[in-house]
Amino acid sequence: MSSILEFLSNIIAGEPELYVVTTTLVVVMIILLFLSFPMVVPLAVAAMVGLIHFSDINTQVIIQQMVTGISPNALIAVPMFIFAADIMTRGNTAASLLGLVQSFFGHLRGGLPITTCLSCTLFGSVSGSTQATVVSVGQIMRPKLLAAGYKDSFSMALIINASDIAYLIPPSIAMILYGTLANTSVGELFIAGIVPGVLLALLFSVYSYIYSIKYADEIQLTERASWKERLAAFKSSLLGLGFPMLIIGGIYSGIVTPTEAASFAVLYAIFAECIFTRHLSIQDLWDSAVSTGLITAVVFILVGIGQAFSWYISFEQIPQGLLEPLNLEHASPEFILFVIAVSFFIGCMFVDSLVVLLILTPIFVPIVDAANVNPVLVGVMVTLQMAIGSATPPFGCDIFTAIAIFERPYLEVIKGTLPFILLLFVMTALLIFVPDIALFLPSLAFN
Amino acid sequence: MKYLLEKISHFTELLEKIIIGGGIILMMVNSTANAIGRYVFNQSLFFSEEINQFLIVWISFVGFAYAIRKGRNIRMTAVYDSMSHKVKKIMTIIIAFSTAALLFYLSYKAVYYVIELKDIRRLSSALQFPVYIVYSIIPIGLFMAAIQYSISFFMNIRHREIYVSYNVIENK
Repeated sequence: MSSILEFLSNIIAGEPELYVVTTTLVVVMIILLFLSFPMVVPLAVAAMVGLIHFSDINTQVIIQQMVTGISPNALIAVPMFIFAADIMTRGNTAASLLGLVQSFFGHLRGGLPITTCLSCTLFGSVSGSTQATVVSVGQIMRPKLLAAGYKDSFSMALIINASDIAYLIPPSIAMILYGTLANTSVGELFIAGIVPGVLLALLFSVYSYIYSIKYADEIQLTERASWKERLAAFKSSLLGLGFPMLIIGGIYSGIVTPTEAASFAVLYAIFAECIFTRHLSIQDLWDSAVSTGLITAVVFILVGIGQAFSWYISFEQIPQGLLEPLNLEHASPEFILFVIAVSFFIGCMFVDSLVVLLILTPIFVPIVDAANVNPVLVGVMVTLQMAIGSATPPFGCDIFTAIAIFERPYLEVIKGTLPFILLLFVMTALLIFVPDIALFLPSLAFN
Repeated sequence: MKYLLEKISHFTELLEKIIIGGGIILMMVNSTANAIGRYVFNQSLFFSEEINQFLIVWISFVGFAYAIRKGRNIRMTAVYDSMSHKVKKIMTIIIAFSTAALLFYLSYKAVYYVIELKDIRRLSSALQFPVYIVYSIIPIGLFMAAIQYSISFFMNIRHREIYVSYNVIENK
C-alpha cells in the first residue's frame, strides 16, 4: 500500500524516474483515447505532460519536432499515392480489374471469393489503401457473393481481410511511414512485401475453396466466361494493370525513387481516368485533390505529433530503459521478431495502427539495429501486424469502414473473421521462421 | 453579425480548399518535373525537394483546420458510441473545449517558434528563402483549427443536436 502511495506521490512530484514517467504517459494516453478525443490530443498531451511536468523543457520543441516529422522527402510519396488511389477509386479501375479476374476464376468452385481475394490484391497494388479497397471491391463483390449463396458473415470477413493485403502489396502507405521512421529504404520494403502479400492471397483463396466445398449445397456456381469475354475484360483492364507494372517495375529497376514513382502514378491515373477513358471530369479531379489534401493533413499532423512524442521518449531514454530487462540485444532474431510482432499486434488491436506505428517504431529501432536484425524484415512484419490489426476486433479501421458502407451491425461484421485471423497468424509464423519469403526478392533486386 | 460571420467562414473554407487542393497538384507537377528533368534533360531541379517540403507543411496545417471543419478527425469512438445521447453530448462539449484550448496553446507556442526563426534569420538551403515566412502558416493553421473546435463547443451548448463541427451534425 505504502509503495503505491509513494508511486503516486512520485507522479505528482514529477519525479523523472523511468517507470513513473512511463506509467503516467501511458495512463494519460489511454484515458484520452477511450474518451474518444481526436488522436492528436492523447499524443500531444502525453508529450506535454512529459516535457512540462517531468523534464521542464520548453514545449516549443513540439512545434519544432512536428515540422521535423513531416519534412522527410520520402513522405511526399504518401499524398501522391493517396491522390492516385482516390482518382482510381472514383474512376473505373476497380471494376475493370475485378471483371478481369472474374472472367478467369468466377466459374470455379469458390470462384467468387477467390475473385474477391485476387481483386483486393490487385487493387491494393493500385491504391495502396486498405479502406479504399474495402469500399471499391467490397461494394461490387458483396452483392454478388450474397446472390450466389455465400453467408454474409463470410463475405464481409473475406472482404475486410483480403483488403488488408493492400498493406503489404506496394505501394503501401504503412511501409512508407515505417521506412521514414526507421530510416530504411522504402524501395526495398516495397519489393519485400510482394511475396508475403501474394502468399496471403493464396492462403485466403485456399480457405475460400474449402469453405465453398463445405457449403456446396447452398452455393451456386456462376457461368464460365467465354474466351471472347475474357479478351474483352483483359482489354478494358489493361490500363489498370499497367499501374503496378509502372510502380514495381520503376522501383525494382531503380529508375525512379518511390516518391517519383508515386507522382508518376498520379499522372498515370489522370491519364487513364480523365483523358483516355473520360470517366472523370476536371471537377472530379479537383474534388479528388482537395480530399487528398484533407486525408494527408489528418495523417501528417499525427505523424508530426508522433515525432514530438517520440523525440521526448528518446530524449528521456525511455525505450532503452523499458527494454533493457528483456535483454533483447543478445536474443535471437526470431525472438526479437516475435516480441515486435506481439507488441504491434496488441497495440493495433486497440488503437489505430498508424498511432501504434508512430509510438512503437522509435522504441524498437535501436534494438533492431543493435541486434543486427534485418530492418526490412522487421518492416514487413510490422506492416503485416498493422494489416491484421486493422481487420481484427475490437478496433479495426477496416471493420468500421465495412460497418459504414455495408450498413450492418458490428457483431455481424466480425462474426466470420476468426479463420482469417488464424491464417494471418500462420503468415506471421512463416515470416519469423522463413524470413526469405520477404527477403529473397529485395536481395535479388538491390544487390 | 451572423451574416458577416457566415461570409467569413465561407471565404476561409474556400481559401483552405484552394491551398490544400492546389498544394497537392503543385506537388505532383513539381515531383514529376524533377524526375523528367533528370532523365530527359540530365538536369534535376535543385529546389524541387525544398518546394515539396514547404508544400507539405502548408497542406498539413491548413488541411488540419479543414479536416476539423468537415468533422473528419481520426478518433476512437468505441466507448463513445455505446453512450446515451446525453452523455455523448457532454463528452462532445468537453472534448471540443479542451481540444480548442490545447490548439490555442500550441498555436501560441508556434508564434514564438516562427519569431525565433525570424530572429536567427534562417534561410532555406536551396532557394535561400527566409523560412519563417513559409512556417508562419503553422500558427495560423493551428489557430484556425482551434477556432473550429471553439465553434463546435458553442454550437453544442446552444443546440440540442451533437455538432461534430459547425456544419456537420452527427448522424445526419
